[in-house]
Amino acid sequence: MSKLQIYSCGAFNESYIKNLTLFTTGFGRISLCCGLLFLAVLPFLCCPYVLFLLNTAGIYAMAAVGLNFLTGSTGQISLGQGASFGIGAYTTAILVSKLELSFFLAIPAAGTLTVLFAIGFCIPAARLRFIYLAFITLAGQLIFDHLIKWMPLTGGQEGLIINESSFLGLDLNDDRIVYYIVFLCLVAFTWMAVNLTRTSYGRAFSALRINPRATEALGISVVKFRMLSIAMSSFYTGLAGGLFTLHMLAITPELFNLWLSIEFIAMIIIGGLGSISGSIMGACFIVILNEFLIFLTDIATKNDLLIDPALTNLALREFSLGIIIVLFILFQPKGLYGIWHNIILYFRRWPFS
Amino acid sequence: MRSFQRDPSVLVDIRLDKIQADLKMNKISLKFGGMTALNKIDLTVKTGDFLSIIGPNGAGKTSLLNCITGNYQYQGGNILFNDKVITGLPTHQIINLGISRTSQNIELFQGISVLDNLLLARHMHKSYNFIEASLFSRSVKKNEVYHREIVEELISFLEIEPIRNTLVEELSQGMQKRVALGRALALGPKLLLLDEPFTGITFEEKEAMIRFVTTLNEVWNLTIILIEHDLPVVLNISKKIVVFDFGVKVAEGSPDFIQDHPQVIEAYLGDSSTF
Ligand SMILES: Nc1ncnc2c1ncn2[C@@H]1O[C@H](COP(=O)(O)OP(=O)(O)O)[C@@H](O)[C@H]1O
Ligand SMILES: [Mg+2]
Repeated sequence: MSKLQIYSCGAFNESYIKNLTLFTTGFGRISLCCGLLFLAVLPFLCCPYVLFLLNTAGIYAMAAVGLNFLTGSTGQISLGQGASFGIGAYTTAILVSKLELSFFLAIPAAGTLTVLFAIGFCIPAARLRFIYLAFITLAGQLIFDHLIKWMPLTGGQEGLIINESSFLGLDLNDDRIVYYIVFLCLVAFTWMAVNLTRTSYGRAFSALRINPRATEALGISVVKFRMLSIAMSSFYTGLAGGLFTLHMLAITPELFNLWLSIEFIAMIIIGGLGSISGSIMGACFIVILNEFLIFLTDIATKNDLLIDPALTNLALREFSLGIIIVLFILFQPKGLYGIWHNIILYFRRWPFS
Repeated sequence: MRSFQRDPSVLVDIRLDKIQADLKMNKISLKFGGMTALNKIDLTVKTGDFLSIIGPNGAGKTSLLNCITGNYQYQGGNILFNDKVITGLPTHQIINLGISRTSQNIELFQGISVLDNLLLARHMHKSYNFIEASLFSRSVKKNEVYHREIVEELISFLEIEPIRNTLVEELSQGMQKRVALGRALALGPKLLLLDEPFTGITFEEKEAMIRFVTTLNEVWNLTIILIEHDLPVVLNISKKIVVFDFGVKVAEGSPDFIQDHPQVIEAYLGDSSTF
């Protein structure tokens, strides 16, 4: 067991099994526990508005962790995460409102269905070079955008409203309940993602990004692993979509358009490609940014600072996200995770830093 | 703490003669557009052999390896490994049958450590599935430790302990080739294909490489096909030599026979500038 002790000359592992643990020292584990404890009491400390944002951020974070498998680890780009998210959300909504299934069953079913859709759609691309996946997922996103507006099953332009608002007997109108559901899912699935990255599967995913030909020469099927990463990411995204329905209890088509796909990519770039904690930070960043921009548009329109019709909130969002991505790529390619890591290193090396 | 001054377990089975590694190529022909890269090549390798392929640049040596490992689709002929036809199988399945190779241009995974490069080669021997991996169960941990030990045995066999945590791109060419050999061995091969492992590296590194390769064949009885330009070395260490030129097999025989072969003397020994 790792003891609570200060390693003045650096911590060294003395067995291979110890190398597999997440934290070299007891302090890492304690700070993780403190962090989780803080998150567990957070809904009682913050106002309803912040709680609503936290729920949204947690749900986006789950989708971002999934996308990180695809883009961060295996280096494939998907422009269809918004559609995956939407399929998860709509499937859940339909199962709950039309078939009167409970959320508890509907959300995993939605995740599974999303995987089936994604695999069916991406099989042709998995045999080809990486760039094809970007285009086929873009095509999927565009088809999805319009199809859900046309189909009666998905409620057309008006979307779907869920009357059922209980989860295993808990009242979903209480955002705290939603918070705990989202929180537990996010912690569980992040933990699973972390586990995968430290096993042979995680190594094979990165190998696939670095050099597909050499990966195949190690007896690892490139096609199978590309499909696996697509399945993984769409499962995470589909589940997140299901949670989104549970969170909002009403969904409309424009919530899941191409813009959402772009936001997901922005989350993992801003958070730090390939980093799981970065994906979560990126999701929080985007949610905060969006709220901040809504606030900014409000002020600007009230004070007649800008020509009114030109400054819609969406335009401002696109504009500032563009600027921010460019700044991150220029000055902090490792994203928020990189910044966080540097801060930690600074304190660890103090007073020599 | 256990030290690994002991025999690499991936090799132990081979020495006990449990492993069969017979490769048979029948009339392999490979064309790129109108150009013939390989013309009806017949080649047989038996368990325990050390076969070297020599020939000038562009003779088709690398192409032959690529045909064996399924990277190139050849137009004619077939290849049998342990009496099983491997023609048309995808590369990863051929590797899973126990053929592993190093590449002329190394092809290690840049940006990750030597250790991770070697561990990657153990992927096909892992005993857990995707779900178990995501839960990181006890059996996963045990299996990870097991593979780490196997890799450590190879690290000590190849004398690369000091660089196990170094990123591969920081290593010299010679060290990279040594790590690539380690990665090929970590796959647990029955048949090892080496593409120019002694080319472009320093004298000391070359000496060590030659020591490892000969040990693998002579001590561990691993079956090896070697491609190399350095004729004196090849004549010294191989049991059988095949000479290629323009995709055709020019000569085949023991080192002594090849040394005295008129065509070989004319093509290679007479003019040292071709090497
Ligand atoms: N992928 C390829 N596409 C086209 N031509 C190739 C390809 N690979 C090899 N060749 C050609 O086949 C011939 C044999 O090449 P190679 O096997 O690499 O030679 P060696 O390894 O003996 O130097 C060369 O003329 C080379 O140009
Ligand atoms: Mg070659």
